[in-house]
Amino acid sequence: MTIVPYRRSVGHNAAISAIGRRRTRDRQTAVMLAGPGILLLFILFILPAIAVFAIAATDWQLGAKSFSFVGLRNFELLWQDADFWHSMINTLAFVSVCVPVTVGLGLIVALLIEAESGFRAFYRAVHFLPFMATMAAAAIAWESLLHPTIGLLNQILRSFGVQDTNWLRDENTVLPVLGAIFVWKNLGYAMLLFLAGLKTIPSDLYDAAEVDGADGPLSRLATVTLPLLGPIAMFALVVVALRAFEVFDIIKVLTQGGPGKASEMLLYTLYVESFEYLRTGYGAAVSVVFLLIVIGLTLLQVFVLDKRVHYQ
Amino acid sequence: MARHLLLLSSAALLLGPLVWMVSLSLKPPGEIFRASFSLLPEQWYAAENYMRALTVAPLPRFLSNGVIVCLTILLCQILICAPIAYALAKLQFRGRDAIFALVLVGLLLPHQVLALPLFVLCWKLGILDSYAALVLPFIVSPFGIFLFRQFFKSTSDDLMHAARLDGYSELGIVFQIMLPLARPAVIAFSILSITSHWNDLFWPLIAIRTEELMPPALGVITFRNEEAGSDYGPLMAGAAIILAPLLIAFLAAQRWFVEGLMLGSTK
Amino acid sequence: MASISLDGIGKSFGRTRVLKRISLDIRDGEFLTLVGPSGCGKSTLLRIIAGLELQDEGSVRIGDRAVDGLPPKARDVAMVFQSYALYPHMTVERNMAVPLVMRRLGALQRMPLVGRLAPGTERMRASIAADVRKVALALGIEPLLARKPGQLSGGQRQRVAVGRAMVRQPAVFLMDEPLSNLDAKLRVSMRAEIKELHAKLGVTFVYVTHDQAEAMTLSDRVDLMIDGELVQIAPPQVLYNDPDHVNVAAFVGSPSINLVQATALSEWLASAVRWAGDAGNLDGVTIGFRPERLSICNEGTAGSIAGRIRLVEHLGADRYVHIDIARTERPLIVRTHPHDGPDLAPGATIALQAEPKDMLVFDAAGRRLRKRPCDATEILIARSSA
Repeated sequence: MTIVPYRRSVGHNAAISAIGRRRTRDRQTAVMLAGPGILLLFILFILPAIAVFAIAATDWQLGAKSFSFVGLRNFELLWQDADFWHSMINTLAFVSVCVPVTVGLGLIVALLIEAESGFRAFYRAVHFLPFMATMAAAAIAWESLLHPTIGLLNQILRSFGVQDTNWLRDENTVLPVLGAIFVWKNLGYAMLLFLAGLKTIPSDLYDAAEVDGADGPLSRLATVTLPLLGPIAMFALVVVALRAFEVFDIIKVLTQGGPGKASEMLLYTLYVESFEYLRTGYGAAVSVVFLLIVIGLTLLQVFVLDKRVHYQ
Repeated sequence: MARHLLLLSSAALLLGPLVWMVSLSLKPPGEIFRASFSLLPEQWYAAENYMRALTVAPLPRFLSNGVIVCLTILLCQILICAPIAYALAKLQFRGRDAIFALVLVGLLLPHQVLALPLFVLCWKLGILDSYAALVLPFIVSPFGIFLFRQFFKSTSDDLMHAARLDGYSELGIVFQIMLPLARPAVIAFSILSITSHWNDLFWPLIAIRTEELMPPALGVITFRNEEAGSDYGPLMAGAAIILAPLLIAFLAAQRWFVEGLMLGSTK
Repeated sequence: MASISLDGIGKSFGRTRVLKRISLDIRDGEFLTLVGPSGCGKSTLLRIIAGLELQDEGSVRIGDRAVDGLPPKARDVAMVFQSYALYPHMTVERNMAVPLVMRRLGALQRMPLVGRLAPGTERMRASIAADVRKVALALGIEPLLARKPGQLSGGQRQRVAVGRAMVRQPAVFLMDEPLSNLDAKLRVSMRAEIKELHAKLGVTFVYVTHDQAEAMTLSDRVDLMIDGELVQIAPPQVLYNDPDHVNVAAFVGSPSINLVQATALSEWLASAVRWAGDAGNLDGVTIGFRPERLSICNEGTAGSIAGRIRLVEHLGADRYVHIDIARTERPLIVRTHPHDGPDLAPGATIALQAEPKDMLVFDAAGRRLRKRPCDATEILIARSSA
């Protein structure tokens, strides 16, 4: 009888240490699986993000051997820099016009496509095609379209007796033209978001509306479709706005920010300051501003997305 | 009827630039500079324009660069993201929530903002102006981790348990059980990853100088700036060659593309 | 083949203690069922035996070795899951081959394409295919080998899951509610097949279910668990006739046992039954009557208790009569043959009788009182002495 508890406790201790060893092994497995990802996440995302803030606090110029900390000096410069403000205002104007237009047209196209069943897939594909285009190449196509002498646009206008315009070299037309190209590319994307949204509207809501007297297509639209698309429209506005803030390719290919600085926008300024003028510290400050805008919008999107989930 | 009229005219407007590009790529210089407008050429000059584009610039090289870079990136992303996503979804270990928070922070960061430090990193590593520089910054994707985690989380624990009893290692479970099960997510993610890196201009512009290493987007504008100049026929032919692969892939696999890009929008 | 011995197994999830130091010996070749209401810890215990979950304390032995430090694949156990857990992207054949491929082929031989070139791979693959086919034939699923799990019915999937467990000839079969996703009819026939399988293979089966009918029909012994504790381990008949605890009595049997507060029966116990204990000390005591152990007699029969029929349910071979008696909230259920006894109609007043030996008495904590106060020698029924 005295041996039994003794043997038991030995057995238990052995079990506990065996379990402990397995726990350790399981932990090692988790580290092995997650380790490379975590390490790369640090090297390629987290540390660079911290570095941007750090560089923004220096007067470092790319390639320079030495630099000194200047605190918020770069942000002060930014605040006083008329060119930066010009770029900022261009960006905001671009976003505030292009985004509602893109989303609005996307909504109209989506509603038209869903209104009847004929050729839905065809229309969807055609309207979405520009979004798939490699923008650098598509910009070259646009350039030929907008060319002052051989361009299709001027050829058409000429036949109505309108004088030639050099669309990309005229500071009054360059931003609207870039805006049009943005709408051209992203309209299909907004359309797709709305098409997905329309699929989620339960059809018995339409039946209910019909019973309640909303039987015309327009009154159905007003009573059921549009109110239910509200959250998706908010979502689309934010997503398209993010894309508008990130406009870069068409500026780089078509205008280089010109004429003058008439078509400079935030991301292009970031690129030029950082990689062409090599004013690294200053470029990093622009990056920080850009980052804050994008994070603000993304958090708004998360918020809107949350709301959308709550509605359902 | 009004619906078709409206949709056909908006479709025409959207396809206009692409149609114009193709139209120019078929015409001889004389017709291009003629003031009058016509869609089809009087004299077919397509062969000459496309041949010229292909000989003057290494367009096939740009495309194959694109394929090499995009596939390498995708492969690395899947190899790296799937195991960490599995660990986050199915394993219990200390610090798991903190790591997931890290992934979410990564999700928030636009890549253009990180370009400057990444440029410095590539410079210090001595890999600027090489395939490695095009690939390295993208080999881990916070979105990929996030997406795979969601999918892995939704699979039943029983399946993982059965696999362990059957003798699979944890890595075996990730690549032989979880990934095949998450096939829709893998396809959607692949499409999102490939299209975004195929079309990317910003990073290649910073990282690449040598023409032979340029991916399609950067290659085509170099082609315009240097070789073609105002030689519009070959220039348009070149743009068409660069545009074609992705557009054809989209038309061939629309459903997958749409799903992939919609998933991307919830990023 | 192997016995299983659990020694003081404890497990907590956060603050909840799911298993409270469970000790249990399962004999080699035994069919033991872990049964209990959902959340009682039975599945957790099964997963601890399999090594899929780690216990906080205690030790598991399978055969003659402690397996606490071994991963699931090294424990020589196979498991059938409630959801079957078939790999949806593999054919039935590949599903069943997986455990063999993992054991018999080396890492190199398992590689796609390259593996084919490794020496012996072809021969090994052929022998695996033969083994899989043999098991499939035995289970009658040979025609399904080329299909994927998504194309199978619930019953077929269940067989494939059993087949996958069988091919590797484990020492222990663990089954986690394998029948609960099947419809009632199929469940009964699969139940019989599992019983046959156990008889044929002769290895140890540990079977988890919340369904007492499965537990009663399949097992050599049933282990009833409630709230992380073993309440009673016994052969099914003992569990039914001689429960240790009121919870066991309540869980086993359908329709379930009639439990009545002894205070509600105090007059009857005093007059009709010679209650051996302290008649004033009936507080908290519960008396249980199995429905088939109550009989209906005419009102006024000596030693009976008066009641009123609320409802009569006809089930073909059986008839369940719900009877209200004074001072109880719920009616007592009596199981009779359809033609037995007087004509029974709702609203009729009748009386109930019971043999003292059929009364199961439980104290305030739910423990069975075997000797006191309800011992057959001490209690005599008034009817027999009158």
